[in-house]
Amino acid sequence: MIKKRSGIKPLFPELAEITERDEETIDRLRRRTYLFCFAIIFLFALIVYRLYDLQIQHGQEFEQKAISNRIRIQKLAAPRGQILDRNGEEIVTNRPSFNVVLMREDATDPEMLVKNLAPVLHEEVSTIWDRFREAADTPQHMPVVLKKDIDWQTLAYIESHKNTDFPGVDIQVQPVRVYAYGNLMSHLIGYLGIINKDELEQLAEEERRFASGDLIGKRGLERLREEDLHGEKGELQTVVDSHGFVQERIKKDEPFPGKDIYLTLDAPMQRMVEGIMTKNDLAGAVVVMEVNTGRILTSVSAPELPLDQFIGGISKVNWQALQDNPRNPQMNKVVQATYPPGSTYKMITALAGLSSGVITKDTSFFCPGYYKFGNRTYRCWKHSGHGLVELRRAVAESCDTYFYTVGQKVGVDRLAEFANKMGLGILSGIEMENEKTGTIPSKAWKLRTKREKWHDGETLSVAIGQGFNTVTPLQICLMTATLATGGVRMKPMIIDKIIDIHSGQVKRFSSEVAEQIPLNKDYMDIIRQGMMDVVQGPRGTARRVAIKGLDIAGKTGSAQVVRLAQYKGLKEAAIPYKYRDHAWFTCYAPAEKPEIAVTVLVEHGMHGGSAAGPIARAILQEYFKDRLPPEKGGKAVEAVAPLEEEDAAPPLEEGD
Amino acid sequence: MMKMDKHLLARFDVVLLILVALLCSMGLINLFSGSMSLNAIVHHHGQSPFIKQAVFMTAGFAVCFFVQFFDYQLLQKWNWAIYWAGIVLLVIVDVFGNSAGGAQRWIDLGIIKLQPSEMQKLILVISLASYYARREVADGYGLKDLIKPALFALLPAILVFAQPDLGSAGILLIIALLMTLVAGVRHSTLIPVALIGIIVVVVVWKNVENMDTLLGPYLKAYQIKRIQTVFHPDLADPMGQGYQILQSKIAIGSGGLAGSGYLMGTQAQLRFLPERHTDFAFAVWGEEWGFIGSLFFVGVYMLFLLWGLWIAMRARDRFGVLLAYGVVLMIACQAIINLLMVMASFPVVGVPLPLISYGGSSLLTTMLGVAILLNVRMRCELAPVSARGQE
Repeated sequence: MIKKRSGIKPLFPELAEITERDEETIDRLRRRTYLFCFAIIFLFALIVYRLYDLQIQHGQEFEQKAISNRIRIQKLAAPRGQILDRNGEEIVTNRPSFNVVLMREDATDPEMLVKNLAPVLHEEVSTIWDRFREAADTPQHMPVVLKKDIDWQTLAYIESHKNTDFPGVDIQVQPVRVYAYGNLMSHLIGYLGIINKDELEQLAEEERRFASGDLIGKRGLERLREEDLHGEKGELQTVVDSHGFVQERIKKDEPFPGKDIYLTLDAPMQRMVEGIMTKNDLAGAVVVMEVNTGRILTSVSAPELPLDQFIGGISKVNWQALQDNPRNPQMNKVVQATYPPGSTYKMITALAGLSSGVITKDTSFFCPGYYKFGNRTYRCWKHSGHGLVELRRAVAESCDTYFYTVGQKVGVDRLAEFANKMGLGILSGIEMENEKTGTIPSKAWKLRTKREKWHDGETLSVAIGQGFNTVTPLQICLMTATLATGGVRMKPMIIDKIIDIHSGQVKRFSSEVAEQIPLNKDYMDIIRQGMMDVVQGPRGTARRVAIKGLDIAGKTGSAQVVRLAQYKGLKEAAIPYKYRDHAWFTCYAPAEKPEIAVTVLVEHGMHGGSAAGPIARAILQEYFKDRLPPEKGGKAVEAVAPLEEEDAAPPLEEGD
Repeated sequence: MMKMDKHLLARFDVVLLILVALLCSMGLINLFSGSMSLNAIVHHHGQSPFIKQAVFMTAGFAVCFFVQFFDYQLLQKWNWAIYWAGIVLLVIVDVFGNSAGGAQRWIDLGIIKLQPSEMQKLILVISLASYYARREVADGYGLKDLIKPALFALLPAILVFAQPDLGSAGILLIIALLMTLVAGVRHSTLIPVALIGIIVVVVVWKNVENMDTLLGPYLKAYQIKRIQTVFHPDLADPMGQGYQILQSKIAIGSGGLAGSGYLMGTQAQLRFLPERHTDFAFAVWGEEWGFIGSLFFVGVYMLFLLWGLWIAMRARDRFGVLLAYGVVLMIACQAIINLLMVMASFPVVGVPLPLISYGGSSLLTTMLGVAILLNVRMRCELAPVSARGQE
C-alpha cells in the first residue's frame, strides 16, 4: 500500500512546505477526507429525495390529514385486582374516583384558567401551578392531573361548566381502593402509594403498565403481588378538531383489570380474632393454620395498621404517631417479631431427648423445685417441686427441672438440630414481607456471632425455651402443626388462587411439603399425650381452654422479657407493663386426627393459660362449632383476665 | 501564546461564520414558532426556551471569538486532561445526575443543566485526533495500534450507555469508527474486521426476536426494545414513537411546496407534534416553510459541512486535518441521523439537530466545534508543528 512519494500529487501545493514525510501522510489524510465529502453529498441527496417524497409526492395527502386528523391519546386507568377470602368474601375492592385533568393542547389561556379553577377545586393557585411544573417533562399530549378524587358537588359543577368556563379541562375516572372491613388483615394486605423514581426504574420493564403518578403497592400483598394486581391501562385514541372537540373515536383499547387474589384466610374467623384483640386492647399475634395443607386461616398482628390513613398518602403526624407507638403497629408480628419461645420449646427438648435415646417415655427424674448445675441453682417455676416426674407429666405440668436434665444430657447442638427440623429458627417462605429467622443457638452459632465458647449452663436455659432462643409466632405454629402431622412440615401459604377475570385464567396454588421428618410414632404419641394433659389433664397449665367434646393438644409458655430480681414475686399489677412476660399458647385439634393448629402470643400477657389460652379456645369453638355439643350457658370468651392458676414463668436464678 | 496579528486575521473564515450565523438564525426563528404556545405556560415560571436559546447562542459566539486567540495545538497538549475531565463528569452524572424519564443525563448547575454526554462527543474527537496525529504509521494502522483508541472510545460510550442514552452512545461509536477509517487502517486489518463486523450485525439482525431472552439479564426491557427498533423498526413499536413519527410525517408532509407560513403550522402550533422544539424541530420548519424552505435549509446545512471539510483538507498538520474532520463528522452524523429520523427514514433514537434543536449543552458543544474549525482555518499557513516530537 506504500505509494511512492511522487505518486501522490499534493492537493494544496501552496501548503506543501513541510518535511517530505509529513507532507505525504497529511496528503493521504486529505484524500480520505475528500472521500467523506461525497458521502455527505450522497446522504443529503437522500434527505432531499425524502423531502420531495413527503412534501411534493404525498403533500396533498398529508395536508388532508393535518386538517382532519388530529389524534389524541388518552390513558384509561385499570381497576386494581380485588382481594377476597377463601369463600369469596370481598375484603379489598375498588370504587371509581374522579380526577380533574387538563389537556394542555386545548388550554388557550392557562393563566386565566388556573385563576378560575383554583377556587372551584379549593386549592391555592400556586398548588395548581406546581402540578403544571411537575408535568413539564411529560409529552404535551398527555393530560396533567390537577386534582384527585374530587367530591360529587365539584364533579357536577365542572361537568356542567367545563366547555364554557374551563377550556381544556376534563374529568378522568380512576378506581381507588375500598376496604370492606376497615383494617381487617391490615398487615397482610398492606397499602398503596404513589410510585417513586426508583420503583419506576425498577419496573421500567413494564413500561406500558407503569407511569409516573401511578399507585402501586408499598407494603404487604399489595406490594408482593403488584404484578398480578396492577392490571394494564387501556388507551383511547380520538380525533379532535382544532378547538379540541372530539370528532371521531379511532381506537379504544379497554383496560385490563388486575387479577383477583383469593386468600386461604377465613374472613369471619379473622374478624372475630381481631375483634377480641382490639376489644381487650391486646398486643401480639395469632396464627391459625390447617396442619395438613399449610393454609393459613387467620393471621393477626395487633395493634392493627390504620389502612385508611394511608389512602392518598399518610400525614406526617400520623406517621410519627405510628413510629412512636411502643406497641409497634407497623410490625407484622406474625413473622417480623421474635420472642423467646418459653415452655412451648419443651416439646423440642422432649423430642430431641426421645429421639437421641437419652430418655424413654418412662424415664423419671426427681424435681425438688430446683436443679443444681455446677455451683449454680436453676429454679423450677413450681418452687415446692413436682416430685418424681416422667415425660408425660413433665409436659403437662411444664416441669422445668425435668427439661433442664434432658437438655443437659442431649446437648445444645442436638436441640438446635431438632428445633430447625420442626421449623424454628428458619425462614418458612410464607408470602409476607421481611420474615425474621429468629435465633436457635448452637455452639457454632455462639462462636460465630459472639466469638465466645458455649457454656454448658446456657444449654439449660435453652432447653426450657429461654436464653438466646427467639422465634416468630408463625414458627411456633409450624412447630405445633408438624407435631400434629407426626413430622410432615408444610410450607405455610396465604394465597389460594389468582383469577384473571379478563382471560378467565385461574392459577391455583397447591400445598407444598417443606420437609418430611422421620420421627418415631411412639415418641409423637407420648408427646401428644402430654400436650393433651396440658388442656384436659387434672393439673394441666391450660385447663381453662378445654372444650367439651373436643380433644385439644396444647402447650402454654411464658417468654421472659427481663430478668430483674426486683420484680420477682411481685403481684402482676405491681410489675410495669413493659416488663411483664409474654404469654404463649399453642395447640392443635382434634388431638387424634388433627385439622388445625392455633398459636397465640399476647405481649406482656404474663400467663399462657389465662391470657393466650381463651383466644385459642374461641378460635377452636368457632372452627368446630358445627361438630360440638351445645355448651351449657353458651359462655363465650369475654374477659381475658388472669385466673388463679400459675403458669411456667421460669424463675431462672443464678446461684452465688 | 496570544498570537493575533494581521496575518492571522486575514485568514479569518468569514464564509463559515456567515453559514453558521445563517443556521443559528433559522434555528432561533424556528424555535420561536415551535415554543410559542409553550411560552404562555412557562411564562411566569421560568425562562422561555426562546430567550434561553438566544442567550446560549450569544454566549456561544462570544466563546467562539475568544477561543481564536489560542492555537488549536493547545488541545493536543492538554488532550489527556480534557479526556479525563470528560470521563469524571460522565461518572458524576451516572452516579448523582438528575434523571429525566428514567435516564440520568444532567448535572444541574443552576443556570445550566450540563449534559456531559454532549460535550463528550467533542472530547472524543480531540482525543482521537491527538492519538492519531502523534502516532503515524506509513501504511495504515494495524490491529495492535487500534486497541488504545478503541478503549478511548469505549469507556465514555459505556458510561453514556449506562445513563442510559443509547443515541449519544451510538454517535460516539460512529465518530470513533469514521475517524479511524480516515486516519487510515491497514488493508490486512480492515478487511477481516469489517467482515467480522458485518457477520455480527447479520447475526444480531437474524436474532432480534430472541434478544429478550439473550440480553434479558443484562439490559432493561426498553433498552432491548430500542436496540430491536434500530435493527428492525417494524418489529417493535415502543410506546409513543409511532405517534411521534406519524405526527412528524404529517407536519412535514402538509407543508407541501410552499409551506403553511411562519407561525401558521397547525400541527406545530396546536401541539400535536411532540418534542417539537428539541429533536423534532425540523418538522416545524418543514411544515411552515414547505419544500422550498426545507431545500434552502438543507442546502445551507450541507454547504456548512462541506466548507468545514474544505478547512480540514487545508489544515497545516496531521492534527489539524483530523481535528477539523472530526468536528465536521460529529456535526454531520447527528444532523443526518436527526433529519432522517424526523422524516421517518430512521428509528427514533433521540439525537438532536446541531445548532437548531433547543438545548444548551448541544449548542455550546457545536459552537466550540465551529470555533475549532475557524481556528484551524486561521492558522493553516503557519509553520506546521510536527507532532512526532511530542510522543
